[in-house]
Amino acid sequence: MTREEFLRLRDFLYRKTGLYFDEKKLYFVARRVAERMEATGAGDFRRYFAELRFGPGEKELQQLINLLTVNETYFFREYAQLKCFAEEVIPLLVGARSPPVHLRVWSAGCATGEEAYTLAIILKEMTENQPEKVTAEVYATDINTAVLEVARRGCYGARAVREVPPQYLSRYFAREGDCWCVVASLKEMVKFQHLNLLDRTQIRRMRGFDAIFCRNVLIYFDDASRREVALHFYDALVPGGFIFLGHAESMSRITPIFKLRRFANALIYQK
Amino acid sequence: MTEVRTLLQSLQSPVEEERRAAALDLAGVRDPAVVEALVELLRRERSRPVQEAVVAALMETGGAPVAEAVAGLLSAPDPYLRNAAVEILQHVGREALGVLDHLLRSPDPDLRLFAVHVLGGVRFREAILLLRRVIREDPEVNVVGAAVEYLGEMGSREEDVACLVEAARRFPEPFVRFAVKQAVEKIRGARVRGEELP
Repeated sequence: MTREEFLRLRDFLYRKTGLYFDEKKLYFVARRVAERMEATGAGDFRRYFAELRFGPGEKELQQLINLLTVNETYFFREYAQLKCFAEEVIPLLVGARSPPVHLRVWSAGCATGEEAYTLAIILKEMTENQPEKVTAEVYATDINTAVLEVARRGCYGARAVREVPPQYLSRYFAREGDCWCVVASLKEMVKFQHLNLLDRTQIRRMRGFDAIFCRNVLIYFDDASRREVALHFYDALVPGGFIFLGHAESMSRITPIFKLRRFANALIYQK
Repeated sequence: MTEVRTLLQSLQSPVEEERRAAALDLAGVRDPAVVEALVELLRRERSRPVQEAVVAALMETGGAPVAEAVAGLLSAPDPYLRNAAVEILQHVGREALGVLDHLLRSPDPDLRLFAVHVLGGVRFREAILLLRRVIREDPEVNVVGAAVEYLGEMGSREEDVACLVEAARRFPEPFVRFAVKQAVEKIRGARVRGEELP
C-alpha cells in the first residue's frame, strides 16, 4: 500500500466512521487491508477500495472496520471509564434519590459476559456496605445466542481475568482447572437475554435503566441503524441516565440528543 | 388505515413521548401525506429527541417522495435541519438522483454545495458523473472545491483525473490547486509532481 493509497483510505474511514489512523499506523492498516484483499479476491488496492466505497450494504466496510478495531474482550477493560462509573457515576445516581435505591444497568452487546460481570463486581463493591439502602442488577443482552451460552456459564481463561484486581479475583471467582469461574452470588446479579438492538418490539421492554454500557458495539451498525439504536437507548434510560461508549466512539457523531458530561476520569454521555 | 390516522394525530400530541413513538411507528409508511406530516413536524418541532425520531423514520421510509420533501429543508435557517436533510438524502440514495440533479442546477450556490455534500456520501457510481459535471461547469469555487475533494475519494479513472486537472486550470486559487493535487494522488495512488498540474 502506497502512502497515497493509505491517505485515501484513511480520509474515507475518518469521514465515514470517525476512526482516525495517523501515518504511523500505515503498516498496521496495510496488513489488515492486505488480509481483506486476499479474502475478497480484489487484485489490487484500487479494486478493493471501490468495493469498500461502493459495495452493497457496506458489508466490506464493516469487515474492515471489524479488523481495524478488533479488541479482545476481558474483565475491567477500559479501566478509566469503569473507575468513573464506580467512583463518580454510582455515587451520583445513589445520592440523587431517597433510599431504597435500586440501580439498573444494561450491558448492551455483552458478548461472552466479561463486561456484565465486571459491572456486577463494581456495583457489589460500591453498594455492599449499605444493602438495605442500595441494590443493583445488570441486564446483559446480545444478538448471538452462542456467546450468551458462554456468558451464562461464566468460566474464563487466565487472559480474560488478567486485569481483575487480586482481591476481586479471590472474592468473585473460583478456580476450576485452567478456568476462573464466576461465583454464584455474582451470577445472580446478572440477567442474560437474547436481544436484537434493532428489534423495536423487544427493545421497548428495556426501560428504566440508570446506565447503559454499549462499548465497541455501535461500530458494527450502519449510520441509520446506529441512530435508531441510540434513540432506543434514550428511551431505555431514566432521565439523567448515562450511556458509556467505547473510547474510540462518539455519540455526538450519531445523534445530538445526549449531553456530553465531563467527569474526572472520563467523558460520558447523559440523557 | 385507521392506525395511520391515529398515528398522524399522535404527531400533534402535547406529550413529547407520544410524538416520538408515533414518528417511529410511521417509519416505512410510503404515503405522501405521512411523509409530508413527518417533514412538517421535523421543521416545527422543538424537541431534539422527537426530531431525531422523525429523521430515523424518514430514513427508513426512503424513496423519491422523501427526497423531494426534505430537499426544502436545505434552505432552512436551522443548521440542524439542513444537516438532517443531507443525511436523509444520502440515505435515500439513488432514488434521490432526480432531486440532486435539480438542486445542482439551482441559482443558489449554498443549495448546490449541499447537493455536492450529499453526493460525497452516497454509495452509487452515478454520483461520480454528477461530480464531474459540477467540476467542469459550476462557476462557484467553493462548490467546485468540495466536488474535487469527493471525486478524489470516489473516482478511479483517468477521465476523473482529466476533470480534476481542468478544475485547476479553471480556478487559480491555491486551495483548489492543493485539493486537485491531493485528489489526483488519491486516484493514482502515487505522488504527483507540481509540473504535472497546470
